[in-house]
Amino acid sequence: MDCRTARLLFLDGQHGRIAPGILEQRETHLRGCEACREAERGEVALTKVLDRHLPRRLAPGALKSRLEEKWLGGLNRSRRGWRLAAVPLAVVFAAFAFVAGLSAGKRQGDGVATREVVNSHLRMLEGETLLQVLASDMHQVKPWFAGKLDFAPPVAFKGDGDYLLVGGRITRLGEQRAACFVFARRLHQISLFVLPMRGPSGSTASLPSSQPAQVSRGFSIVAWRDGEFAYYLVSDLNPSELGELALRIQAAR
Amino acid sequence: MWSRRKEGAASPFRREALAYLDALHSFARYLSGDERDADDLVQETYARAFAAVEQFTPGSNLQAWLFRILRNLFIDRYRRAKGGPIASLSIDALDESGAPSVPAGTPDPDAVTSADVQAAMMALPEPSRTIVLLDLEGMNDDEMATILGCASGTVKSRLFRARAALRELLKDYAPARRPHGL
Repeated sequence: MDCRTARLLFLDGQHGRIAPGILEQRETHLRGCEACREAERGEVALTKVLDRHLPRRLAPGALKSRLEEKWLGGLNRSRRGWRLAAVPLAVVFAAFAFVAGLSAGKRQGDGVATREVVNSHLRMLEGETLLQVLASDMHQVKPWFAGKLDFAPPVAFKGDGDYLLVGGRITRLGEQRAACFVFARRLHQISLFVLPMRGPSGSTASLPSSQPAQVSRGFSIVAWRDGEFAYYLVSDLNPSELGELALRIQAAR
Repeated sequence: MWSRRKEGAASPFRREALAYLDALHSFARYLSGDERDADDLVQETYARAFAAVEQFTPGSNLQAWLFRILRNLFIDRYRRAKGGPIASLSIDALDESGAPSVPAGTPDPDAVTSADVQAAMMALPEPSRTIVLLDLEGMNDDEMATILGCASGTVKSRLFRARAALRELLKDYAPARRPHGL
């Protein structure tokens, strides 16, 4: 086998699509050709880069709903009728709740929460508060919170090659105690604050289920609500990279 | 040919086609680089596919057929918007003989970011970007040839050269060149 054929079979090799006889010829060639071995290492590395950094962009839920309604809309309409009727009402209710919450939040909630999470993150960066549990294994970090908070922070994301789990600590945001998971990306530290949503006057009452990253005092912040918990990610990472971590945390739930 | 009579709201054809929604959306998103354009491309792809259902041969590859429609739509739109060919490098230019050369350096998955990789992908000419994406979707040579409209025997060399171009764009992230020893 020559170099051209061997190289054109790199990807088939990675996908396990080479017939045994050809595979043997390819392996023989690679054993005697350092240039092709080096070229194959590059191909394997590129595949890893693409697997890790080019995630599949799933269709948004709204698009799925639109297409299903348009193209499968005649199916089981009677069975789905109550759901279809409920959708506009739910949208109106959610929009009202969101707007009402947002205006309340602007008055008393969001700004306070944002300021507090940035302050807490800054205190950690300045060494004023230290990590209380230092571990890269979520199975060590999560149990550490048990008994120290009146809630169990629901975080399933264990960190990965891009966002390493470093440890955790407990902090206070306003009148509430919050769990703080700390991740690292390159030289950047990232704080993930998790705390239960509180009533109408609480600082987290107005949090929407998702929103784009904001920037405050040079720090990127991504905040969202999931069930009865509020989540705040804070870092000096750029907003898109922090947003990507938020997606991974949300996807892991 | 698929019967018009079968092609209604309850059509298994529609159900099967819609099962490829996520794959089509991801392809459209990386082709166009824009979320809204991706949504439009996917919606128009389904509209065209369901309007031209007679042109689909039952038993052939539905996913490849849908991908081909989407890609052709993207190319048509791009041509209309730019008023010219889609890329300075046509896919035929990738179809060279001889031992394919490889760029020096190996991209380091820990040094490169998603933003870097996506920027590199968008910098590739469309035919190269498409073939890399189709391979990531797990398509075989015949399926890729159907979508690209080329001979199956040329797919491997086209894909190799497209990936080599991508590695060239990412060469600054090879370990030997990483700044500050990160």
